[in-house]
Amino acid sequence: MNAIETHDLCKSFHGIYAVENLNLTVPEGAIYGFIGENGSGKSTTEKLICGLLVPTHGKIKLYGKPYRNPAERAQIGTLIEDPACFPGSTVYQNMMMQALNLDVKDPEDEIARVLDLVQMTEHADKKFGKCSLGMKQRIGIAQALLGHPKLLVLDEPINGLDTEGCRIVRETLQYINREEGVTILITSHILDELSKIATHYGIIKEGRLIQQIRAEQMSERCRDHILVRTANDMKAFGFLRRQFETETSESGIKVYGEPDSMKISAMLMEEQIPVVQLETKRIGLEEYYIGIMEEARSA
Amino acid sequence: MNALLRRDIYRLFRTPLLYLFMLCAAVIPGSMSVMTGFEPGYDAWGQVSGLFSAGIFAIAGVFLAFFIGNDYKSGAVKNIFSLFPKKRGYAAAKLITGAVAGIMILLGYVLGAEVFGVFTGADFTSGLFDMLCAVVAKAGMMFLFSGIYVCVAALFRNKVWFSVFGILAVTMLFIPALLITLGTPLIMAGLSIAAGVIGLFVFPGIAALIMKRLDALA
Repeated sequence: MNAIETHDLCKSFHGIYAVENLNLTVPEGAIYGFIGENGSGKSTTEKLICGLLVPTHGKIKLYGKPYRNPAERAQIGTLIEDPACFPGSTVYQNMMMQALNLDVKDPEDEIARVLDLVQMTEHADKKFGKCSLGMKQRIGIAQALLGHPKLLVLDEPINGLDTEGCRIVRETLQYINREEGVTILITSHILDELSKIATHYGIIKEGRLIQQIRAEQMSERCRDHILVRTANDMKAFGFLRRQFETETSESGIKVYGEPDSMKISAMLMEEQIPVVQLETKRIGLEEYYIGIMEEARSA
Repeated sequence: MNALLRRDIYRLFRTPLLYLFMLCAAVIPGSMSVMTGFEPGYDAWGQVSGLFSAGIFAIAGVFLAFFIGNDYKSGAVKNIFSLFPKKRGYAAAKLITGAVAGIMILLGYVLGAEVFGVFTGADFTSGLFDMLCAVVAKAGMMFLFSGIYVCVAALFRNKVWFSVFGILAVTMLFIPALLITLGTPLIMAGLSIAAGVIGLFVFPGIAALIMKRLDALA
């Protein structure tokens, strides 16, 4: 079953579409990284899913049911933009208000549990407005975790976090996904962090979903390789493919499985094939994403 | 709605603004008497039906404007409307909480009037029963007006000062209805309670219709 499905989802503001014909599928149990440029429609999509914006057209389903079904909505934890807390109230009071919203049994114990998960227990009596940006983000995540939700919708949750804060959030999300099977829809511009936890990715551009891909598929496409250009690429390709896994592309010959570029250079020189360019390419999520965006621009 | 109401009541009693407004209401009878030239014959219990007591509704309305507006400004509505897609429950909880706040402000006013009366040796000419009926009547009216105020605040959402001016304008329109006379106490109390009950059922639906048409995040 899919945790989230959208069907031709559209949202326009004053005639301009922020989200257009979006068909998003988030499998149950996934950590779905939703990535795109600023203003591409990521936050708008999340707000639509959470019922904070009214769709112009289209449908949203949560676990196969209409998204306005109260039973399903009660199981969503959200952090959309800034944490939803009153600055003049303490961290504990803000957490208690959300616990009351959720009708949580033993709210004091539940608040203690989630604050401990994000390592914010010692700040419970601090006024929320006096907390730093990073602390506020962790409190927002703790609030989203109240009541053991089965779906988390997080918009830029690691914004403003230092390295330690990122680690805490990453480990918390991985823990609840692994141990409790929580599905997570997460947007972030920090692709390096996202690549450490996401199992699926959706790439959005100008309100349209241009690709949905599993992390394993992306890994296949993002393999490290050595890019070779020679004076005689045809001869070089014929020679190299007998030794290594290779692939031709517009930018040159891609050689997989051999980390030592000097070895490849020496081999080609022995065959009297002059090397014009030799470069080690390390492809991560960021490079893959930029490549997809460039393809979309030129399409 | 129960969960939302519990949350709002929890928040209400931890909102310093409520106690500030109660204090403001408490000093109104005495300060108005002083400003208008304190004369013998100040009826401490009669203050409940006086013109200045109508101002309690305006004070309660302003409080509600801030109470609801801060839900939007702080982003708390994101958590609420994610969980509760039907806005009627939110509106009903706010109506009840607003009425409770209004009643507390009213009690602050009454207490202030009586304390001022005791300290200045004023008269307590109106009957205690009449006074209590007037308090009950005003409390019933609080539910009706809280419903109207919730609709106004739902329209303006995080634009708190627009809500404040809208609420004050509405209150001005209804001032005659707020002057509960002490002449027919039981009838007035009964009618006011009936009006409050009607408001409790009607206005959450109206406020929900307003909120349904507007995105939660302005």
